[in-house]
Amino acid sequence: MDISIKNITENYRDRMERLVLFDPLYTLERKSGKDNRSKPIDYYGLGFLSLLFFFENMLIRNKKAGVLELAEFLSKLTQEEYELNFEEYIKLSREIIQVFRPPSGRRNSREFYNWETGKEEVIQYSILKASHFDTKTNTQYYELDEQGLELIFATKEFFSEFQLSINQLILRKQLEKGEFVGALRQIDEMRMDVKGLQDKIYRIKHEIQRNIVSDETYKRYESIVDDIHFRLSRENEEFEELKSFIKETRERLEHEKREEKMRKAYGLILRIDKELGEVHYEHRQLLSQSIDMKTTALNAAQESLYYIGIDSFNFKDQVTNKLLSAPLPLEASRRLVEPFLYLEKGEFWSPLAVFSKQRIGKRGTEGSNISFAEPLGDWEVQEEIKIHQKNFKHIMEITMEAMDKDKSITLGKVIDFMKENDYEDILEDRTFYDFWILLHHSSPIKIEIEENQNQMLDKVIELLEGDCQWIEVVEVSGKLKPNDRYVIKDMRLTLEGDRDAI
Amino acid sequence: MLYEQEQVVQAFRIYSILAIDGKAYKDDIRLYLADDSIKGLVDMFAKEVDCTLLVVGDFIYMIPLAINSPFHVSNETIKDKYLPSRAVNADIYMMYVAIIILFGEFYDSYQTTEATRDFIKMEDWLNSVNDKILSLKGYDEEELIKLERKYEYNWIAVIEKWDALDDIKENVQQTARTISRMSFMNVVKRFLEEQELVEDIGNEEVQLTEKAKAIIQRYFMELEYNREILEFIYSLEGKDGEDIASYI
Repeated sequence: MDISIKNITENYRDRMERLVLFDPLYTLERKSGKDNRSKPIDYYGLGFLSLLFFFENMLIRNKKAGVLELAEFLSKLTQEEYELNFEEYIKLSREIIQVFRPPSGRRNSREFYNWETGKEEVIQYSILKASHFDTKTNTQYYELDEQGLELIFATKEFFSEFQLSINQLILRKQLEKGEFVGALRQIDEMRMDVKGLQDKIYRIKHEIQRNIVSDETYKRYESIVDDIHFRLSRENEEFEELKSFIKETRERLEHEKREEKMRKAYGLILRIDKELGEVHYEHRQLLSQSIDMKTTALNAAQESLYYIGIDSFNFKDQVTNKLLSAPLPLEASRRLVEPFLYLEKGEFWSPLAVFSKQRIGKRGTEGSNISFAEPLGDWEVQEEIKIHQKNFKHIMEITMEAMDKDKSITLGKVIDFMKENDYEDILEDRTFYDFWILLHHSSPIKIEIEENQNQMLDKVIELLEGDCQWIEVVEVSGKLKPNDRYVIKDMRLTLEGDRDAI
Repeated sequence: MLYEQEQVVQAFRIYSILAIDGKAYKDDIRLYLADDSIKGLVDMFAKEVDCTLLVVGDFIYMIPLAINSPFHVSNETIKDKYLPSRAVNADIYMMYVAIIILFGEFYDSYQTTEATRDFIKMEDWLNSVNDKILSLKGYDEEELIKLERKYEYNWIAVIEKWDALDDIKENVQQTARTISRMSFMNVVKRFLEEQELVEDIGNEEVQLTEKAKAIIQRYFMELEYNREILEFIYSLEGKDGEDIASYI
């Protein structure tokens, strides 16, 4: 009996794609961290559980799942097993998240030799993505990306393609048996499936427009779109059936709802009805989108008659590096960014505007706009504050270094120290003097972040927190002239409050 | 080809929507997608002002071609609108260079036409710009001066400009305003955000929008345009002109 090689290598890439999903877990497995009792940490397992944690959060529609939340979860999960403090848990969850979502932004990828096509190919995949961002606390929240969901589903026994149908089936069984609480959870899972489908359709829709370059790719997309459409309509039918089934159950329960037990069940079935309705609505929208996609795909194919794409283009190599390493005349850069810019808009003024309605402004408000410098925009001010905070912190660090273990130091000593230790360039800069003047001006300063305080010193205060309770800066006799440009009065900086206590 | 007056007017209406906003929702210009002769006309109009049209998702964008054109937005306008006051020409070219470097970071593989990363950290982008500009510094200065004489603008100004921006050595007196490299990068980011090319996803990270991806993958990777761009680059390089053939 002959074994057909073609049969074996068929769809090699698809299979590889599934295999590659597990790579990040192996990467985690290779990590060798230990807890404080030198017990090795099970990165592999914790990594997988972290994915389940994000999955669960998506199920209960909790969008706020970030590093902190994961750390809390891990600490609850493992407190019996490991001896780690919360800081270390945060570090651990950061490590795990970084494996699933590389901090460089570069996608996780895997090169492999495709035995079916005989070419080197690359698979890119994304397990975790940023879902949500809280500007106030500067925290990023995460959720599973497409392949992340696939990975989770791959650990169940069935494929994600049938996930929704299977969930529908389970739901039906549960309803038949009267397990209404379980049914609600099932609906949540279905909601996730629909969400996954939504993402997939969105991605494919854009991919089609970008990628149809040949008849072959067109056929591939056509079959993908057909599959999706077929699947959606099948699922839609099932939804309809489920709905009528729920309706029947509801009607049946309505007659019996006088009993206490039945009343609760009736409440549940009402909720099930409502939630299923929502999911179904979203699903039905996908159905219409998929029909839409069929026409877009055709449109795109039509367009591709005029469009001939190239197979490979490396922007970095062929454009960026050429521009900068040759180097090309600077003006070329303008021409290369041209496509990213926009058209000039003509702004015309019509003499008839003289007769149009005029707003009557308050006397005195006009005419005051003769000014030299434009005020800084809000973001510009924020930028500046940030820069100053950083610079001040740096100077404070140097000062602390100069103080060594003492509690007090004069500015003269600090300057001497800086000259000896290669910090001379900072003395050339006004920021250094601004810093001391500001300290003197606001002395004594309480080491505590308060509102309405001068924000400039925030970072400095953070740095000193725990070291002392107050800082005081007083003038002492003598003038200092660190270089030709600046002259400043000598001052003495004193840290007050217990430094050793902590 | 003969057009009916009605068609020409409709095409012009669509063209003006696009010319004003640079983009249009597909339902608002349904005729563009439905009627081939109107589409042809609008494409022609766009071409006359050195632009091309791209369909991205539910939007149609008007994209300027990579050629010198009087219709395109001028350096002056961009400078006035998006750069801090007191910006000079070197600033604007520095911005262009930063933008080109950014897209290079996303599309740096011959093996796939898709982007190789989902997002980039502002810091990584800054470092990449830094590396590239510093590597220019190592370039033979005489050579640079020669180039400078040949063309109107010079790289040395950009390198010096970049050097002058520093987070710790703020030369406050010179500009009366603190400018650091990161705040410059933020200016560029804001410009790109306004052009709908990047999105801020928090944590100091940015990702490309579908529009940006479409411009790279449908414009830079379109055979005809791609050849024009590469030919343009090679013509400036001069000596490596014969390499062109290998990319077609």
